[in-house]
Amino acid sequence: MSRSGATSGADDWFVRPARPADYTAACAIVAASALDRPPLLTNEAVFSEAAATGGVYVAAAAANVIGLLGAQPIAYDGEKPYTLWIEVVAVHRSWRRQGIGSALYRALGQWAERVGIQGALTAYPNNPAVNGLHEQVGFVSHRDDLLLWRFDSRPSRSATR
Amino acid sequence: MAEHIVGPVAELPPGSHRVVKVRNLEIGVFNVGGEFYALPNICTHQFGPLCAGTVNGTTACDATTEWRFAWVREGEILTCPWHGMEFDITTGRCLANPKVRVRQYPIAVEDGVVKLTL
Repeated sequence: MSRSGATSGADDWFVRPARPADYTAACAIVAASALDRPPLLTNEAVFSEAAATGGVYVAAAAANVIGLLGAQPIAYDGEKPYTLWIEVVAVHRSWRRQGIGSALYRALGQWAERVGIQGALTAYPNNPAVNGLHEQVGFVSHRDDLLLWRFDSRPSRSATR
Repeated sequence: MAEHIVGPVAELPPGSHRVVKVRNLEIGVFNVGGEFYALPNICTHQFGPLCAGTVNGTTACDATTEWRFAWVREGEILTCPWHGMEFDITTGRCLANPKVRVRQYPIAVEDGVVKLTL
């Protein structure tokens, strides 16, 4: 998937779709970031299902998961995801400020546009770093209580049917 | 899945609804004739506060109404307050485009308490 901004050796990282085997590492990242465990990490089965649907990405360095972005559909066009809810974004403390969060969102955005998703929403996080990331990615204020990342593509007939 | 208590059934009589916050997601909980349903508080149209809308019925004109305009399904249709998009609470489907639907979250009543699973 997306290539990293890192340059060499042990610092190389990359972004890929999450796999069921990432469940434990994803939980660890969330716990280390002092975040509430999101619904998609309720248990391994839920995580596996969410990963199979799409919209869950991890950043990895060697065999280690160092970042997580998880979104789940809140609306569908037929059985295709149509609107996403961003449940969690977290990067391991020692890997922050290297563009990993942006790369995770880039991968999510590419997938979302490919399948014709209309937009992604999330609540305002009480976290300046996450707010900054969302602003950089392209989220804008919406409805007083939400941030919206709108994709240009509407659910086109060719993409969704 | 984790359970979240919405409240006692007595506080949500048939025809009522309320918006609850589970983690950071707002969810509308509806009692339609004694059956409970849970939908995200986000419209598929312009992401408006869907569940802040009114619950009523809709008009139909088909074989079931003998091809006359009639008011049907009272209490089962949710109208977004922003632009009037209508959704079937029992299925999450948009009346204007049945292919579009909002997610439905598992909800149940146990020991007189409404519980949402998320």
